[in-house]
Amino acid sequence: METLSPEQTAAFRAQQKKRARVVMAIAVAVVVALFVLTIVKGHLAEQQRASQLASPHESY
Amino acid sequence: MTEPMTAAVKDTLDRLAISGEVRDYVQLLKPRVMLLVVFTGLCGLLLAPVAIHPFIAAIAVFCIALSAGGAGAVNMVLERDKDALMLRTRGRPLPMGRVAADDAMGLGIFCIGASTALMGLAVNWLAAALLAAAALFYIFVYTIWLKPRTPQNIVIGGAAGAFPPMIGWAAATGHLSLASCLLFLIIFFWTPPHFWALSLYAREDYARAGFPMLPVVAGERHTKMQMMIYTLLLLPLTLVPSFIGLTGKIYFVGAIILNLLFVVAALRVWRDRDNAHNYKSARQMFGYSIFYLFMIFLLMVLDKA
Repeated sequence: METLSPEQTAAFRAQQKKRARVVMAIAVAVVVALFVLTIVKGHLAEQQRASQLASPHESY
Repeated sequence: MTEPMTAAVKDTLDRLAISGEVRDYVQLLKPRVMLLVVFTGLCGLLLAPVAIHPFIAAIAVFCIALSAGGAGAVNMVLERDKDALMLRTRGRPLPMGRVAADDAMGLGIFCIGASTALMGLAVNWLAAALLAAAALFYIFVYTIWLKPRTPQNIVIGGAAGAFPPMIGWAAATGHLSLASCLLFLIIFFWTPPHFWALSLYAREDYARAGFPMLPVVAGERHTKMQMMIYTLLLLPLTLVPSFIGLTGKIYFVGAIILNLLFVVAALRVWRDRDNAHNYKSARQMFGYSIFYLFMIFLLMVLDKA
């Protein structure tokens, strides 16, 4: 099996680390986006409930 | 002149020590695992048929994260001696002696207790009960009972990691349904191939610590076969959300593609008899398994029927 020199190993590890950081940043961004989506969805639902309460005759 | 310089250096060193300590405590909470747990919990909240007040939703997500972190800290305390023997874990704060075991245990218990109480008082008690059950299952059933005793440890213990979408669903609706149980089952059946891919290339590490992981006890061939079985079982299971009306066609097509790629990854692990390039196929499958779960849940949210 091919053996990497210490410099090649260090460069490979640095590249792996950089890639892991990018992946982690994307994952965090997705989770934050979903969190915002949850909050917005909840906010809209609250608004809808409030408007339904404000106009009770609409259901007749 | 020397006096103020010394004070400045001391001040800098003190600040560095504090930031180091904070980093250690954050590490105790297993932030990467926490991220996946929060993600699946959020998906449970979003897939539920009703939306809750944004502030209550934020509290629910905070509680899920805090409880997962607490369970992770207690797990690290209980496994600190074995962690010290493994290359993968020996740099953790407890084996390195950077955090005292009692402090870590205190932090863990506080996080679990506080998150359960907050979830119960602010959200609902079903979500709180599930949150406590997940943490206690992870600590007592997985960490203490199963992990040191049986190669099926992560099959049954995997249930602990499958709770978050159910908790999110329960937080939103106040009850459980077939769809929430399905979300649980998807993570439950995903855990074995995910974890066994890791334990294939970390086999020697686990053997050194005395954990009876499947590749250590039953061998690599048997492990690879089990991985393939669970990967194939996931295929029909992940398509069920479209059949029960939880998701639409986009998810259905996406899930088929993701599953086929997962099967290909499992096949590559199966065919890699010489474990070429330091278990490259198993490492790739481990990485892909995380991407797979992430995408399956993301697609469900985006294509919610």
